[in-house]
Amino acid sequence: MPQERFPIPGTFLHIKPNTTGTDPLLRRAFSIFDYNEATGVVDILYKVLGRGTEVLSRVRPGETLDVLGPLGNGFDLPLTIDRLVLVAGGVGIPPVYLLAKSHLRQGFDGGKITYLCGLTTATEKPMADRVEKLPINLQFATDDGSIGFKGFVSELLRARLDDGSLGINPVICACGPDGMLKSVQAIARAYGKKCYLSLESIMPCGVGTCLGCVVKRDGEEKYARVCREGPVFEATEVEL
Amino acid sequence: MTTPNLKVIIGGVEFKNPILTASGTFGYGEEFDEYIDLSRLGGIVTKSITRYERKGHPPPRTAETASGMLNAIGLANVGVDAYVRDKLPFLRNLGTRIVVNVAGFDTDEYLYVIDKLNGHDEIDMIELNISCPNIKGDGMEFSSNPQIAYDIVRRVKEVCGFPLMPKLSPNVADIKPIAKACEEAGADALALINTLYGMAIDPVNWKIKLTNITGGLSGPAIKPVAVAAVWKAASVVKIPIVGIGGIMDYRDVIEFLLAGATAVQFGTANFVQPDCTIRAIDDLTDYLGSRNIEDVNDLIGKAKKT
Repeated sequence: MPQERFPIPGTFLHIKPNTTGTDPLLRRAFSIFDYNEATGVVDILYKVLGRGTEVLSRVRPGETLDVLGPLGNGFDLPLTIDRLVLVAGGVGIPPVYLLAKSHLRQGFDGGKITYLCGLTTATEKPMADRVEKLPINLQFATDDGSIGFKGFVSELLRARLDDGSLGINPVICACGPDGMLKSVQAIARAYGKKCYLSLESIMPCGVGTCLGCVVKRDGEEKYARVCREGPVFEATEVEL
Repeated sequence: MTTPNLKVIIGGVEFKNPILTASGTFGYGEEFDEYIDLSRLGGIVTKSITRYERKGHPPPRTAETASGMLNAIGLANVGVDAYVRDKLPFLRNLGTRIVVNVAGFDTDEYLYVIDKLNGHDEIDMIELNISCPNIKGDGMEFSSNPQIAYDIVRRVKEVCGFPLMPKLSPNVADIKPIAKACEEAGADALALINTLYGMAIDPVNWKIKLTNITGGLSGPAIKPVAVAAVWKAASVVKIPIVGIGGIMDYRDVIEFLLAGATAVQFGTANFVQPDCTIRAIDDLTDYLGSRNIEDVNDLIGKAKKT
């Protein structure tokens, strides 16, 4: 039963942080981090940044949350690709972690998956505990060099493309802060590599109605809804 | 316990219940088809349409505030031709009333859009958005001045093949003369309120949260403003009023009806809870039944002074 319920990596849950009341009013979007097929439990990963996540962090085990989802279009990658290169920045870890896990369980060779994980400093490393358990090639980049490569994870990506360790036809999938995604997008373009970005946006409705979460379509005077057409876009589709 | 009557009549159109969805919060209806049974709604008010397609403002377009949200979407819509061609077919035979919200930047645009909609019998009513900026009037809203409101409603009424319901702005000193002017110009009903002007700034990085600088405030934060506007308007007009502003559940519906509204529209609540309207219809039915109130119309304007 749970087998076919495995979520599509990159899809998200729209969660109401508070169980009662109207402040905060709106739901918050979280990428699905993990799914346990035996128990049916879904995990999310978040950092307390604003009022919504602060209220959510006070929810205790046993309380009921109002969850809408899974929503959006996730990663749609065939198993025939040569190499999967996952680039995550901070709380951007979840969707590409789930993508690695999804590919592995479908028989994709873990030796062909490289996960570049960008953190501010070593103390954030517990966020990547689950990634470390996957049989894939995991490399860290930290701003202060406390573990792994010293510098931005996008620079680590550039270094690995330069040293040829990612092969000729890697497919890059990235999730993280806007600045990081912009850099990854530019690098993928410069190196002519296929690249997908999982975008974050303020999403009042999450179902395509409010038109609040739009991103500009590259080269067009048009907008796409992050919640409906995304949150995963091919890097050439959007202007960040 | 008998089943109470929920039917209301607005502008000669019978709605199966007084619960509608507000323009701009329910897309063109189809977006919610997978979440709720649309046929149970009293009516659907579709997103503002204009003469031409509009892409809308650059993001960020929304910001959450205390019990509310700001939006500056910028009237993004497909334009009237694509609306008639691509959106109206879905709305046909849904089993609910279809109200089309029409926006414009000058009188000609309203008349053009209405002309394109005339004759399409899927449409039950026009909601005239006269609470958006009027370029010709120094950026004022049509509904900010009684004479301007009268003129536009009068002109549109002359050509409109459907009952006409102007939607009024709360950004005025006194809504009564505006409501009265619309009635005198031939409006069949009034919808109020649209959003309040608002703005939010991030104290950490000093950035204004919306690219458009200001936006429209909606959500529970504006409900008392809306209730007062309905109460005031109801004191000067005889035509039905459709109340809008921060309605989240059946208790809010009752509040608006008691203030003088004949029906209501759920707006921002649709973003929070896609089935909020259906829950409210069920809860309203239970409320009336438990109090042995046979007809929802018996609530209209019955607020008591303390």
